[in-house]
Amino acid sequence: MTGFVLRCILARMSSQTIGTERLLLAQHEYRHCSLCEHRCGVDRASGERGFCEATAEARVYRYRVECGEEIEFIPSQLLYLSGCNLRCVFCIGEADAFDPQRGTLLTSQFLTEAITTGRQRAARNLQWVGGEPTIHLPAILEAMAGCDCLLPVVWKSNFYGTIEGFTLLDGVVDVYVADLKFGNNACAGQLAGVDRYMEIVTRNLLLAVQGTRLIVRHLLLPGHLECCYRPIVDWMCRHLPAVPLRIMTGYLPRWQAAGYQDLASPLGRDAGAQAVAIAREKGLNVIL
Amino acid sequence: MREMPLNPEDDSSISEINILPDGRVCLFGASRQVLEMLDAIPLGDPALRNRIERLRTEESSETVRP
Repeated sequence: MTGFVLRCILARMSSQTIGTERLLLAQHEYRHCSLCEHRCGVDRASGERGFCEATAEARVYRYRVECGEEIEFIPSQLLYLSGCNLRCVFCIGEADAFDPQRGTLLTSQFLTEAITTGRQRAARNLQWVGGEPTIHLPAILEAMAGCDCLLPVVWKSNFYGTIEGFTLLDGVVDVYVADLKFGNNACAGQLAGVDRYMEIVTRNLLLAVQGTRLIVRHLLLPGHLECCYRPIVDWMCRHLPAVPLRIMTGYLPRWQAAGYQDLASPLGRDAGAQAVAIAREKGLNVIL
Repeated sequence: MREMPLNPEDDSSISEINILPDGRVCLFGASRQVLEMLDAIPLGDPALRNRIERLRTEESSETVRP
């Protein structure tokens, strides 16, 4: 089903509710998966697995209230879903992020209990993170539909999803937080195993900002100032000048990063300040 | 809303602190208690300081709300 057809159907629905029709449309995606731009087309409901290796079950490998995320959200209830559609060699989630079999099965009951605990710990919102939540979008919608104590929803994603996927989220998400990881297709291909990265992610950023709050994040990578960071800043200046840009400086050489010369060491001591200065010089709204 | 104490046996709530050789601190999955502990150390990190202030502001506004 194309994004256009989905938008027409969803336009008839209440934008603030998940609803049966949206759930059915989402479940349909599991039958011929086109939730992300790998577009594997596998029948996940029958147990087939594509690039991300996820079936129709979503699993939470960590959930907790955190205070280190974007400052306006804290304290925040985070749910980390296992499984991802990227293969970033420097992923801090390491094996948990890539193995969709890890963790506790996501259900409405599990979500309700997690949120109840989160509220007791002063959580102000619910953040779906990964791995990558987009590949589990139908299961997440189903869990939220059966939960009567939802908090405002923050969707933290690599934005390598399809228009169909984003359309299903329309009206459900309160704030998108996008990880814009690379500034060119070559680095994305080499370090995350994805094609047409810039076309896809920038398309989705422009789509997301139309009706929902958006924050863009970038994890500074050592040795990628010129090839990735500066192009990102330039693109943000041209297309999303008012959108907050969070510059993250906590890069560590984890997972398989040791095998890549540039990525084998932590970020240089002055790299963060230099990056902030570049973005502010261009007039961007930098958040730390 | 006052924050419920964390259960120390809940390992899913463990924060990860990495200290680089030059003294920089990388913090992942920070709870409030961990932020407050680090706030007692003069790290000079504005991101950490801002988050602590935010939490305290939130708490005081909750306290005075009727």
